[in-house]
Amino acid sequence: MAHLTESELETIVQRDLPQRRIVGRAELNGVATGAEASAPELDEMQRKFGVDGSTFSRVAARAETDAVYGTGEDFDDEIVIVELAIDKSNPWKSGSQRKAVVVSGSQRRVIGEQG
Amino acid sequence: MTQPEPKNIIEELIDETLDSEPVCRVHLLDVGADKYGDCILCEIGEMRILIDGSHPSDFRPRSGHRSIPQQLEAFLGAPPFELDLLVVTHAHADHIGCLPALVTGGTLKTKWALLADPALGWGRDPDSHRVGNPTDEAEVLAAALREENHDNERDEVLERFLLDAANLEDSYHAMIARLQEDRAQVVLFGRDDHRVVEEAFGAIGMRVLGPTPEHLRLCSQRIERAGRDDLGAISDFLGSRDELKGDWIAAYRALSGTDGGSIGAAINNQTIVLRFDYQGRKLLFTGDMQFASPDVSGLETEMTELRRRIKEDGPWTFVKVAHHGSYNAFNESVLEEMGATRYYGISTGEQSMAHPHPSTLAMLDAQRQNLKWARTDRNRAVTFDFSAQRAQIALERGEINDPHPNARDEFLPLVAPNRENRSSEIQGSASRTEVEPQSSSPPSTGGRDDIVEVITRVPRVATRVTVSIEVQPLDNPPPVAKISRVPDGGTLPSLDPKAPRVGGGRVLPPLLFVTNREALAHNIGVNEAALALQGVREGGHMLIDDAPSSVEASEVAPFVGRKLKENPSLRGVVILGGYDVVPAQRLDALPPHLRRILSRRSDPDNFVVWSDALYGDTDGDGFPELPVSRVPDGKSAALVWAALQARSPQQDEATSTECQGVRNKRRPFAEEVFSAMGGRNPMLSSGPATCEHPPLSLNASKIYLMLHGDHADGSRFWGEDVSGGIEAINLSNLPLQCEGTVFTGCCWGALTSEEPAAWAPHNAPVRVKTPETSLALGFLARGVQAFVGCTGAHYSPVVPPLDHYGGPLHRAFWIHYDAGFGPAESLLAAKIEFLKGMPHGQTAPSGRAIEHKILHQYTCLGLGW
Repeated sequence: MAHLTESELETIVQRDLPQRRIVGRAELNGVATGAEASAPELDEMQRKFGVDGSTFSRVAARAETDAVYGTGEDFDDEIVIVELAIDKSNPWKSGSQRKAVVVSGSQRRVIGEQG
Repeated sequence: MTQPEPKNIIEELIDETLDSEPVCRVHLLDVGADKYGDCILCEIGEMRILIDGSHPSDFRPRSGHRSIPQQLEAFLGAPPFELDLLVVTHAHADHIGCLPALVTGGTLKTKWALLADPALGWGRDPDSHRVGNPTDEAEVLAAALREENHDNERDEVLERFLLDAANLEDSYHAMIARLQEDRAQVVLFGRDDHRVVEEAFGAIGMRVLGPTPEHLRLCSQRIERAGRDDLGAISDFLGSRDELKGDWIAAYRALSGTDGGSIGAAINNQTIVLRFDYQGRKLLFTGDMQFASPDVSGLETEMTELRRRIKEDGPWTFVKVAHHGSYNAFNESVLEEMGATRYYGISTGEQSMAHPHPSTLAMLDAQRQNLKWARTDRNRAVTFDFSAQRAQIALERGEINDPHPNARDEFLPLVAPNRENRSSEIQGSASRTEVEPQSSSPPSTGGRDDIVEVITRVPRVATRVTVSIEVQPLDNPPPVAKISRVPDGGTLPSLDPKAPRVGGGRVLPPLLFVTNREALAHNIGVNEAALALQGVREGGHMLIDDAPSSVEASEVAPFVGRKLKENPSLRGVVILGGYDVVPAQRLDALPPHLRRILSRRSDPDNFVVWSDALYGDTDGDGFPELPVSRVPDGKSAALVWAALQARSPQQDEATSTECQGVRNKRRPFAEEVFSAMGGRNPMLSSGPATCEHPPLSLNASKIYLMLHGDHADGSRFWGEDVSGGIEAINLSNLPLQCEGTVFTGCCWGALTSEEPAAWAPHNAPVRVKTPETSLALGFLARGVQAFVGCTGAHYSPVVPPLDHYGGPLHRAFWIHYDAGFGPAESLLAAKIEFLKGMPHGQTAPSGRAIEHKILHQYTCLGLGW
């Protein structure tokens, strides 16, 4: 699956979130520790409640908006960390106010935000 | 995460002759809740200098305080943090702090490092050091007794302190090794020639004023001698006290009254005292140097000489008051020697009862017309900006020149200094009035049946204090005391000295309550825990009160599963206690297949979340069949009472449809969810709404909040405007009593531990939030039926169609709730509906990952029935 380039991501973020800039993809704080267990697979859970997972297809599930906005190419979404542009005159505004936003690879726009 | 706005900015002219505007800022970082601590970031010209690293535990946010990395990021940008100079003034844990973690983790890099020599600091040969952390009880206690006194801390704080002290020497050496590997210019003060550092930073006027080699030698001799003698004495002491073997906390408390003070003083007096002189701004950093009272035999002459050098080099633009404002570092003579210095900073943690010392504050207060001071225990992070002709002091909280001591108990007032004569000494005699010490909280009864512990603090003056303690035996328990105050000055309901009536006396379906009686008693009190469990039994519910005391939920869940299988009539599970009583599961929200193909991830939780769902999973397939809710105790018996006795607003037709809602301005999808809830009031949008305007008291049958949250600060939720975060609600927006159900889409809104699941260390007790640090627990303590929210970061749709990520689950919850299901059942039903619709049009792996996270991270706090 393809991924948007850094340049493409910056262009999209500048357009959709003009006052924010990408600061990276690293986890916000430190190294994550491991989990005790993993969630079950989606199709197993859906079968439990009578949803036939085999009917799920990537084409059928593609939203109408994907057909409108999409490039037709197969791109992953990207979760990127953005922050407000730094205002050096006020030390309380510099740096953080960060959050994750989701950039749709196929629609090439911001479709979701942390929070 | 939203950066806190400074609450108080003071600006004044300092020198109109200065015609240039160099950069000269001193940032006293918030050193957290623990006592003591220094961490100072200086921006001088183009140079960035960090002096000390607060406490080891400040590597992560705790108790509503930002972590040191978070604060450094605010000033230095994203990690790795690049410094020109790192200074460690002396070998105490509240100064070395989290620097080893930052350096060895690659988060902090520096060109130069001027460090306290560990050989001098630990009294060892220069070419050797202790290999590995001590595990022998005597060695651990000896390491702890080197540090500042912590004997009046709570057990869990003391336990953390003991571990930090035991690890300190090894981690400090590891930090030095990593700095050398990274090709930093490392200078060990006292062993290497520090003048190379002065030359490197000559442009900003750096000089080390002390201590001299002789001064260091006297201190290191004391440390070396104490290291030998104290270890033997501790071993002998432990040998004579069998009951203390293995109980490090009790042993430390017993030992800390002995002469541990002199080794601590010797380490303090090794502090590197340095100054900067840059374009007319002179800054003095004093670490923990005990200028007023060295407490090390033979050091008086050296100290006098050091003070003379400081006096000759003054006056100063800014002075960091030594040793957290202790009486042994600051007296009238020291203040006089500072000359016309106007700006002072005091660095110490929020829980520092004796620092800054009342006498220090009184001296500063007597000169408040001429001085400005700030203190991190009251003001949190402080910035002194001397970059222009006008000095600017920015405080995160509180007021400038706060003269109030931190001691909660009343103490005999000191005689005020003669305001007309600055050279007068503080008088040692004090009023002979007898005062009854008053405690703001009742004595703890938690955990040990044979001991009542009362802590009394008395000022170091000639006085007599009489303390009377009345104790009642356990077979005649006293009434349970009132709990602490709420921020708005009112008090939460008093605790009823009878067993709680689960559900307020309503008939509830048969439920299984799960807890660990001893752990719950440790948190809320022995009597209180017993009464709470009595209430559960009297309500006709099944109870497991001996769930294994494990940190892994997978070890506890089988006990619950067996009970559920044996009793198929049970309709749900209620966990009684926080994660430190009955653990939550650290769940990877991604199934293995998705985890493998997800090539990149920037989710703040790495898609790992806390989950209680396994306690309702009767068939072991990873998805619950029964609703699960949790009453986190928050170390508050009153919260447990209020939560267990919560009524259901659904039963009152007159009020059951009342709704309140507040959303982030950038979350329009929440309007549709709220309008379907059927209330009369419009949903507030923040911005422009703030926590103060319009005035808002959250008290309705149904409350829906769709705002930003922060795992480090659960006491507030934020909206947004063009400039960033706006505080939308906080604890002051909660009334004294509140019935109803709260549903939130706020990041970490239902996080009841200090650390999110991805960051909490394994095999270590979980640290939990309290009603004073968490909106979720605050609501529960006021009687809501449930608080439903996320244990991780939430994601919202922001462009049409708004039917993915959190939106569908929010809608489904309220639909089922309005259909008459209780909160716990409504959440499970909403999850099932959400699951059936997954992935809601999200075909890309990252999008599907977010959908999985939404499904698994939602949890129901409170009784939920």
